[in-house]
Amino acid sequence: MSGSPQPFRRLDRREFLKVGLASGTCLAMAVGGTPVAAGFDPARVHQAAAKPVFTPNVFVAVDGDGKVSITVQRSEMGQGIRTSFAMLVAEELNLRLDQVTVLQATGDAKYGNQNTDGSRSVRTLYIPMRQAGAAAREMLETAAAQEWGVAVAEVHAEDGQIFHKKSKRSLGYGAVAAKAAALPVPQKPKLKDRKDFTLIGKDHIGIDVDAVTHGQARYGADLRLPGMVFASIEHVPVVGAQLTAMDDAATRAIAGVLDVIKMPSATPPVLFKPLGGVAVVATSTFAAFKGREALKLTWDLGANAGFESGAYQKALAATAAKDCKVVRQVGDVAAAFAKPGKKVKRTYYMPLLAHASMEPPAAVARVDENGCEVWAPVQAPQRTREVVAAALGMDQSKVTINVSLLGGGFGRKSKPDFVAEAAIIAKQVGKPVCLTWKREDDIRHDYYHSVSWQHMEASLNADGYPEALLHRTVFPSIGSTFDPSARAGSEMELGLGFSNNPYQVPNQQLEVGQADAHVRIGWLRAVCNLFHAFAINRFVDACALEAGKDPLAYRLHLLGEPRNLVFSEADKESPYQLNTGRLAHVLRLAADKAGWHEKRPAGVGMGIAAHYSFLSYVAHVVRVKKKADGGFVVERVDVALDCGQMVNTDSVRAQMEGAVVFGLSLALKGEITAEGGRVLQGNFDDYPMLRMGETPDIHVHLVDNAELPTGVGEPGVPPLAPALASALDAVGAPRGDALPLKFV
Amino acid sequence: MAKFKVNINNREEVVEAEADMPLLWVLRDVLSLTGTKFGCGKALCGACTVHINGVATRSCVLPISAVTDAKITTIEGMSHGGDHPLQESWKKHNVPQCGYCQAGQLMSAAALLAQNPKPDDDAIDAAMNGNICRCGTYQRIRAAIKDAAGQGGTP
Ligand code: FES
Ligand code: FES
Repeated sequence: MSGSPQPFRRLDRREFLKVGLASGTCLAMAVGGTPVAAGFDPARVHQAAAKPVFTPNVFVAVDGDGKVSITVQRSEMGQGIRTSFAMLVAEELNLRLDQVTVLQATGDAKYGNQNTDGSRSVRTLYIPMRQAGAAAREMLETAAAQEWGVAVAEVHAEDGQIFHKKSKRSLGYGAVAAKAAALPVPQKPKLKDRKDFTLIGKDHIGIDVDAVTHGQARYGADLRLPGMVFASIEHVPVVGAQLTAMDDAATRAIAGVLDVIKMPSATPPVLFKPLGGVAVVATSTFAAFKGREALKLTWDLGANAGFESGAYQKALAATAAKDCKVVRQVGDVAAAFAKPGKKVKRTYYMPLLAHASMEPPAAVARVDENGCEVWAPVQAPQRTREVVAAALGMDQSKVTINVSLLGGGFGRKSKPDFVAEAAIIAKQVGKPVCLTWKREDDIRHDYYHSVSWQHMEASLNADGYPEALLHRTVFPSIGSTFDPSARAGSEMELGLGFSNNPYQVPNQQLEVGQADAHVRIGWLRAVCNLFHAFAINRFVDACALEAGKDPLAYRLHLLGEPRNLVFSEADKESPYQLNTGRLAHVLRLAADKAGWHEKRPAGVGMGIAAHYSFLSYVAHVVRVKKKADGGFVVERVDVALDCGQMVNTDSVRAQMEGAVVFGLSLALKGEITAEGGRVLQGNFDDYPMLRMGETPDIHVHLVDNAELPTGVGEPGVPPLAPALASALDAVGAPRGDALPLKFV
Repeated sequence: MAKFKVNINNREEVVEAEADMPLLWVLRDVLSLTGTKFGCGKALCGACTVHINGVATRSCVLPISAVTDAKITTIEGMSHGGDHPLQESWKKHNVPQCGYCQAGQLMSAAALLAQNPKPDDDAIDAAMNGNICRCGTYQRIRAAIKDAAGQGGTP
């Protein structure tokens, strides 16, 4: 067992996995910290051999039969990383995807960084994962060459065989595995040339599709263990609230309820600590839910009880209306504003947002004398291991984190608070526990995307372009989750679309204001880029309108000559500087494909926006139509993306499609509000999502180039809302400077 | 607790549960049929969709006591050979992202095609509007349904 010197008693499969009634097959979900297979075809699914013969690194294992398994250390949440990483390794092993078994790593430092966030799995591991495969291939080839006594240059590995063409001999990968295992591991194995790729840069079907479509894929609440009980938690209604009285008599009288457990309230900093509340443990999730409803709880709501969204929004606006802390000054903004010329002034608002992944937080945990083992949908398995170990007062070596599929993550599942809850309850009851958050728990107790207010002013020159720009951003920082005294956006947060504004203006002043968080603030898909891209694109449009210019031409003019922009010391050394030419290219591409330059029928409007985030370049053109009843329909969205070298082009396309839907949900519907400190929304009736009937035609245009790979999961979201608002402007809708655009 | 005789995926089962326990939790927690998912618990998202006598139904709000005489089909029993045309089509179009909503999507789509083998866009929207996909796979779902219905949905 990886990383755990004290392996658990290994359960027999039949013991822990009750196979579905109708299914003749079962998805292997191993106990004991071994990577697990999550494929579907039973013929293909096999556990990694207990002792694979050849393991040149932690990612590749070859057994004596030549079966090859690839361990993926990043979490699968729909972005297709299990497929992409398998492709990277298999490419260099000269294998097809159907010739490898993909295993999922447990949370263990030996795999390196496993945090699946920041749209950076492919960016940071594109070369290392290929090297893992290439090292294995070189060693297999060397072993075969030695076996035959020929030069390594004369042999080559292909399709699970090593060939020596001259002598027409071949050996299977398995046949030379033992010999390869004795060889030194090459530190810089030779990687394939881009032109020789057979997998990378092409469309591939996701490796877990069959498991998903047959109901065999396993998510956070899907493992069944003998003696397992089910739990759900009535959380503190407000962060920091304390339970002052509890009457659980009615709960305990409910059939199926086994136990009621007080969970201490998280004190600041809230970090990834369980939020606190009262857990109900029962023989079914339903009984646990019912038990929660019967609890009579009295709370001291604490310091956050005064949180009212309306008043809070006014306070943000008031902060942004005055001078804030200057974080960048270029030229002399005051002098430029004093000169004659048209002035443009706007403010932009975006509310708190909840992640609302389709799978609410859920986890299975078992704690016994040997340690703790959990199965959970987590984006940060090593962090989960630390948090669970700390919550149990246990050494990390005794904690095993098995990573299930994630039913969506979007940043929520980077926070393992819910896994610690499951572990704490499991320890208390002495039985395996399956913890399920209700949708209401998920929406009311999220680590929310930050609420924000942006204040922007420009002075235009005689040609109508900004001579001076003032931009203030005010939002409670993610830092507040880790340090309550953090009251202003951090450099990292400002670097998400604010301090790297690609539209260069001769005189600029950037300011950041202070704001208190009254809820847990966290990362949500694209993070601060969402409100910074919204404000900047809306404001560029406002300036273009004032100048009487086309929004596309205006942007291209502001971007200027193709060149790299440097915004910080760190940028100077970076191979990923923002290139204005690449941003201009995606703008032109989206516009051309959308028919930007064609005459638009009456009642049809188009809007355009572009944003650089996670080192990738994305532009959206949204087309809307005014309906006879005065409403609006979003007809079509064209997305252009330049993310450098792509791995699985089809999943890149899928991410862009999904990002449009995600962006439309937040642009049209998403709003979390609070009264008396309590979040008012709870389910999809009052926190709605875009549905199929509202989904426009989405056309994705991918830029094919050999630049360094950059982010895909997040960058598709930010341009949507401003492009939509701009399209609505064009058909006479109310000005959409505050999200969500409720009038649509 | 009471005993209920149910027919699930063509098998007769006797389950012990409270009469008001929704079918979803009987499937997941009593029978360990975890392919059917919990998303909202209020018939708002479709993640828990199963077939009751062939009709797409939200199992999260359907008490077990109401389905004892019914024929229940879950994603695990959607096809015998694992080769329902929709499952094939879902694969061809590489529909799932996280996959969590997809059991519900497939069950809704299968019920639609059983009643209306050649649905148009409006019929598809009407049948599928109760199924949320937070990952945003709607465009591919629509194409996959059309393809399975022999209407050559574009990938
Ligand atoms: S869980 Fe039943 S409709 Fe959402
Ligand atoms: S595929 Fe993730 S919710 Fe639909």
